[in-house]
Amino acid sequence: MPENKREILPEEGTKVLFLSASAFARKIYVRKNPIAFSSSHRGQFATIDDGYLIIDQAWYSK
Amino acid sequence: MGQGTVSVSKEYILKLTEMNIHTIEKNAQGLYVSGSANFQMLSSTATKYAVGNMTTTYVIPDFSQTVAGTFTVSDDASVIELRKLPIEEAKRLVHAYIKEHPGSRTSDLIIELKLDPDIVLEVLSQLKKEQKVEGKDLARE
Repeated sequence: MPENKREILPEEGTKVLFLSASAFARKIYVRKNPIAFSSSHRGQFATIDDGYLIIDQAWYSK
Repeated sequence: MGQGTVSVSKEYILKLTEMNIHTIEKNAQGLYVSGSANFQMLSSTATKYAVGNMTTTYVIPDFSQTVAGTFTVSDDASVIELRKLPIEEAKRLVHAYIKEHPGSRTSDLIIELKLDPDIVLEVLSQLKKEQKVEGKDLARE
């Protein structure tokens, strides 16, 4: 069971979509070659070992 | 693959004899370098002291690349250490930072304030409940 109530442990092979996230990991391998997701959508690819992702939000004072 | 020297202390120098860099990324703190390296440890008189292999992952504030694959690193290379502060102290820091930097991302708070991610998430949750801050999803570009 996750120690923190916010922690989730998705099944291996699960795809997680996010607008912005930060990775904290033991190792992060970034491939230099651009990846074509579609004809007009390019991005990069990274492999992350032994860590976690935090989904980012923008924070404002009330 | 490349060659370079890393000053690890006043007494010893690590001479990298082979470097396989997996990642070089630039961020606000400096350059984040990750990879594996074979090295020779030399004494200050440049006599071979030891040889070995290490996996390197660190943020270096000062980086100069002289030729492709060859680099030097200053000896004040620093690692960002994330602190575990008491919740109330962290809450005060986070709230002040958000007031000063509206629109900060969760990761900005973690890295800029050098706070443990668990503490930051807990603090944000409490500040949100107290209606002192609000979190908004980041808009698509």
